[in-house]
Amino acid sequence: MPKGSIEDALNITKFLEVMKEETGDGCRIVIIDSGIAEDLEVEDAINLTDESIIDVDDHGSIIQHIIAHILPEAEIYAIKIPDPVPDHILISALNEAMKWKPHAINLSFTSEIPSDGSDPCSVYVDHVSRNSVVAICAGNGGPRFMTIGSPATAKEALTVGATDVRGRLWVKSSRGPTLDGRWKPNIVAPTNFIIPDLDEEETWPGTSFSTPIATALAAILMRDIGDSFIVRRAIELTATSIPIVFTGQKITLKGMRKASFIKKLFEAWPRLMDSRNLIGMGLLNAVEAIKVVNRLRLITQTVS
Amino acid sequence: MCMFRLKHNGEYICGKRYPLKCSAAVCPFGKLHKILVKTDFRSKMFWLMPGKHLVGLEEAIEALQNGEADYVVKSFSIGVARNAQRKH
Repeated sequence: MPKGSIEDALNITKFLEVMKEETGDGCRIVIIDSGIAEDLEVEDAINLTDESIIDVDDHGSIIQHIIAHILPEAEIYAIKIPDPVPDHILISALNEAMKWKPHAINLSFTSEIPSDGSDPCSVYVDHVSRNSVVAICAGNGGPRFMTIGSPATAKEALTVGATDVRGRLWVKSSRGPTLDGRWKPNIVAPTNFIIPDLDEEETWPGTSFSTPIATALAAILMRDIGDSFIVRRAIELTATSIPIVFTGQKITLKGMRKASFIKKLFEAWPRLMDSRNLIGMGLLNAVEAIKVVNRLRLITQTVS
Repeated sequence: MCMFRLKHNGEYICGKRYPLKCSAAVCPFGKLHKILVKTDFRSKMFWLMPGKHLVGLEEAIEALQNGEADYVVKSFSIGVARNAQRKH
């Protein structure tokens, strides 16, 4: 996967244009992850582990750095959870997060256990999503289908897949559909870029690090319009279409195995081969999403 | 991996369609049954849904029997996607 700078990633998602005027002032974002960065400030933090709240796994701190780079004036709150986290602790973390009334919650934790959205974690994400946008990473289980598991399968979650910094689908980005046939992820965003504040050479691949870009956009939109459903739909409907290039290994099957594979493929074709199960509605487009939400806000104000 | 598949007294039952046994014919997800039961995971705790109470297996079965729970989900853990992360 090609490496790039965070500017490349922000450029293809049209975030650089937004960042000329937007600093994230007034945005409240909760990061539920493996801890906080030593060198960055948070408004408040909760530790649901027995360890120090400082991140030693290079996960939560990276996410915090990405969000702080995009929205330097956003209020960031953090909840440290263990890895792996039992589902009941994740539910507690989501519950704690709601107390800060965040505009967006970043959850770069997920499973590959298929779900129809009726498991407790997904149900709780749906509950939290009424007041905040919950951006959840799709996972790194691709190119296999049905690798997006709970809680990324939640109906109201903004599930984020990954592309490279050139905007091509990352082969390991988990794919839908969900167990009940809904397409997922909702959108894709770039990953594997250099974060200048951290390291001049190191890149961070994975859907975990594409999710904060979506979280940042969701927080801006949510602050401006205050309706999580509209925000999710605006992000989806303004996403840019990207070409789907098959970059996985070639499938070489013969005889009965080939016949069986083709039969299964045709049976599952309409559901599996829906491109939305790979890239959702497409690549995040910050400029267009903000434009739509601002227009909608103006109309709402005029009507009222 | 199926989060609704429960093992009780040596038999697999469907946590979503109790008291029916887990099989392709009763699977709520139809043809996906084969994929779902290919691998399994064990859990000590179970969620009574839709109330979201966490209980042990015997209590979960009892709740399904007396109608306290509509369906039961196995408790599981969620983690960061390790396979794409760099080793330190």
